[in-house]
Amino acid sequence: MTTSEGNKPSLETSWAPIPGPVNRESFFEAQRRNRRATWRLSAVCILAVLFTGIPLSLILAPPVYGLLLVGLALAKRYVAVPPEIWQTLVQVGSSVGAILDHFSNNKPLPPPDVILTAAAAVLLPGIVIQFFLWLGMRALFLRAGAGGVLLTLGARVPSTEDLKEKRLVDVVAEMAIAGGVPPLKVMLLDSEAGNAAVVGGSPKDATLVVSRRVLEELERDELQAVVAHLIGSAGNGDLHIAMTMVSVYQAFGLLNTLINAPFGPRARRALWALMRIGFRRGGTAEADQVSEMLTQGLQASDDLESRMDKNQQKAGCLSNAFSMVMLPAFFFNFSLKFTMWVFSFLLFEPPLAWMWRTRRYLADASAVQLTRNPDGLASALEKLSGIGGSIVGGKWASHLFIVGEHRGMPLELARQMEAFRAEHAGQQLTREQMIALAREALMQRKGFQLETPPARDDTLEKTTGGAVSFHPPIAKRLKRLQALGAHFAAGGSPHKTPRQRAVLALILLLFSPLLFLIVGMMLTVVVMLIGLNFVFTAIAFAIILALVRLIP
Amino acid sequence: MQNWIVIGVAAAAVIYVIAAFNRLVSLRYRVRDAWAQIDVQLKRRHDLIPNLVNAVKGYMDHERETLESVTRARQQAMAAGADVNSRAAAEAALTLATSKFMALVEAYPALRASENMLSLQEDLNSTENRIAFARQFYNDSVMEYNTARGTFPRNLVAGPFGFRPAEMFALEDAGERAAPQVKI
Repeated sequence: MTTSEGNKPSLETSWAPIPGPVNRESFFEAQRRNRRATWRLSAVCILAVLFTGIPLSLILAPPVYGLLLVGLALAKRYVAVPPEIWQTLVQVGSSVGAILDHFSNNKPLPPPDVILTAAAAVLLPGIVIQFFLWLGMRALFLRAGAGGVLLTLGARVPSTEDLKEKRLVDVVAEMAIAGGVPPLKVMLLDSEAGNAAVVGGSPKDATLVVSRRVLEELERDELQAVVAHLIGSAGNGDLHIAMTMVSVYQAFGLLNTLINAPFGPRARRALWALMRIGFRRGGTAEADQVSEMLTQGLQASDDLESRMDKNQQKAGCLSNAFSMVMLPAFFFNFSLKFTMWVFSFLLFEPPLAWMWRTRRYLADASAVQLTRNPDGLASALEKLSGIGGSIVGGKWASHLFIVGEHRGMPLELARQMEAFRAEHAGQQLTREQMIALAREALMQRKGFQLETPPARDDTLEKTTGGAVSFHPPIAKRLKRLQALGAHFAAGGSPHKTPRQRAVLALILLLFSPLLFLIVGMMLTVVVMLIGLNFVFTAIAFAIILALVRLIP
Repeated sequence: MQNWIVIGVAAAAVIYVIAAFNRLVSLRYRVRDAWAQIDVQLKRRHDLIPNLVNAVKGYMDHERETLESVTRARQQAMAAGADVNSRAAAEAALTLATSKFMALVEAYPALRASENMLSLQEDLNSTENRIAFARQFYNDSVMEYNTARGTFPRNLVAGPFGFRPAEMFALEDAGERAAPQVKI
């Protein structure tokens, strides 16, 4: 396990009091703890997604009933519509009306069974639609696999001639033996970014994607740790979880696309591509492209919006009239998108990201189990935090990488720290002190500007604005590794001190009124949108119904 | 009513026994598989050594003794048979011989830098790692199996069905425990 290259000379030459294991924890224990955390957070995620479904269903209900009424009005001409259907619809309408009366006209609250009927009638269609969209997307993308787009970016098979690439293949074989799994496929990316990911559909057909830069920068035991992290991640079932996670976004994206399909070519193209993978054409890479196509409308302007924009620029009489006709559809689409955004931003994305973080910690602990060398992973993470920033392959793969987008750690600084580590080996330096020292040294050099790499837009959390990253901060991971036995100067204990907790609580307390205000405002807007959407849709469908009746 | 309770309890017990038995069987298979994996990796090392010796023959003619000792150790390891203890001893001797041999390579800069030698060193390094990791996985599997068969109430199932405890792969003496350093 130990290789010829000792990358920690400090441990052999002088036994300096390096801050060693703090609050020691065995890797089995760490794995159990992280598994439990995953379960807890998954439950929170499910609740959060369910809660998001409620307002969306409220927005979806009016057009669904409107379409139903128009459909019935048309059908009535050709076939006899049984009177029970009309009765049921009237009953639903009156029970919803009774509740609205209570709020607007101070009428007494109707009896509970009426409320229940109304709630079921209003919520069920939306919930059923969303549930089936999600199920469909999940089934589709589970088959296609995760992160396949990485394999299309010029990924190649490692050459047996090149010593470093041969080493990678060897290391993968070693780690597969350590984990008791069949050897995984390996692909290389000739990329400037130093990062590695595991992609695929199941642990059995997973593929490791490693960028060439990783091979250049990492020592053998560091590479081993990176590979062990990825194999552990696949073995823990992260690919399945990743796809389920992404399918939630995709279900929302599909809903948006379906609504836009009658109005623009882009949504139709996305649906067409989706049908193609539905009929087993194309592989993982296509799946990622379709994910992108489905959800791009959620972030940028979608077909409906661009059409409205175009109309407004024309500003003719005809296009104004067209805008008027389109307004309800536009408004419906907008309310849906805004509500999705608010609820995913506030409600389900943070627990989702935190849940995914527990998977990263779990994979770290698995890597320690496979290599029995926490130092290897610690120094690998440290190095990758410097070079792994720019993620290739877009957001549908970004969360599969071992390190995420690094924030504020320029490449030069990382290199300087690397030099410092060798220089100050044996000294009691925490990571923070090391960064400060390195920064100072760089600043003294003449004409040198520290440039923080630009933040990237193509990570999963950026779908809705990205309050919480899907990757834990490197410093935190290092602290956890320290608890697993890494002799790594991460600084401090992995757990917060009482003082830090108090400070955090105080900050939270101070900002809580502001937070409440923002959340309250957003929710008010959502409620207003739901109401306005109801009114607009009702008017639009009343006109359509009248027109349908007029046509002989 | 009482009959139903008795039947229910009996059914639950039977289901538990079946589940416990199956788990023990799958764990035992994993232990066997892990053991076979060690063999595979040891064989890999045996196959590697002739290549290694051939690669250096031209350079190290006057070190014939070391080369021969490596070859001999390999033959002994291959002939060691099925007995665990004698095999472990033979393999340990082979490890020692190869590490001495690799230390010798140090003294030949031209040889050390050659592409072929670097590649062979990587092979040897990786093979040693594979053996170590195969052992580690074997020991982990044994630990899990022994824990499963030894803990209550599964030990009630393990005993009658003849699930014997598996043995860890331990190194014999302290001399072997000092890992041979292949410094290159």
